[in-house]
Amino acid sequence: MLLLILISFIIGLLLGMTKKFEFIKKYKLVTIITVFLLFIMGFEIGSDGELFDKLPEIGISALVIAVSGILGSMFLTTVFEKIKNRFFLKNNSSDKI
Amino acid sequence: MMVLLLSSVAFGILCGRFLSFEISDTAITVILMLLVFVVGIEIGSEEGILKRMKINIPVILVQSVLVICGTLLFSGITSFFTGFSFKEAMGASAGMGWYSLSGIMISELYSPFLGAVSFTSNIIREVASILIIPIFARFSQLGAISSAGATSMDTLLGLISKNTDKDSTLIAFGQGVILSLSVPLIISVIFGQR
Repeated sequence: MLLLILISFIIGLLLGMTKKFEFIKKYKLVTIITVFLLFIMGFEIGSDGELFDKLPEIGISALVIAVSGILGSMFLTTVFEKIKNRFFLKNNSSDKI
Repeated sequence: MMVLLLSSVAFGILCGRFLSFEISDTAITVILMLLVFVVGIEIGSEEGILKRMKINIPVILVQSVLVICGTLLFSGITSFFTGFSFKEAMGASAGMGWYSLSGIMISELYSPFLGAVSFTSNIIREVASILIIPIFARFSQLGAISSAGATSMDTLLGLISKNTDKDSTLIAFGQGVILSLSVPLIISVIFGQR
């Protein structure tokens, strides 16, 4: 599955470089697909009855672990970004897709 | 945007609770491919994309290593107040947001209970990232991307591309690829007996 996704990205990149597909940006495709994917994710959680029953028991520790994992990675990468911008490549592109 | 995304997760949970039909894995893969394809086109349309990719490869590598170390270390530390051992707490976070794989792998290799904890924890990571990315991206784009972990190449790539510049979107995709490749490896190293 990872390979398929990589290939799709590379094909997208190559086609994008031909500059013939810029019209695609006009449609909010990315948002629509993201909404759809998150709906599917929710659907899979919702249909897992066993997980729902165990939730009170595991919910809190799962939350604590998730939050510290996120904080840890955000802390290190934020420091990295600030150091990188200060001493190495000054990133001055502020364009948004 | 944020409200829209969170409500689609909530609506999905509700539907999953009361409706019973299977969503095939093939369909999900096809939708993921489509998303990544469209983002690929948007990045590819940029001027001087090849040069930018070259510049960004070292950044992607450092970024991925930092996300892995930060996640494992900080989650491991929670063992002091969650009743899990350092190894268990660290392992539960090792999915980096890839809940389906980490949940199944840990259930098989270690215990179904920790598998469920890992599954839930990684779902929380993905949902929390929907909130964190738009807010934190104003302060640090790489910091914002890091919260998405391995999902920065698929489900959350759209959200990232809306909230960061194209260089950061490229880095996000790279981070997602490297983390997705590392997750199975890290879980096997932590829980594998042999």
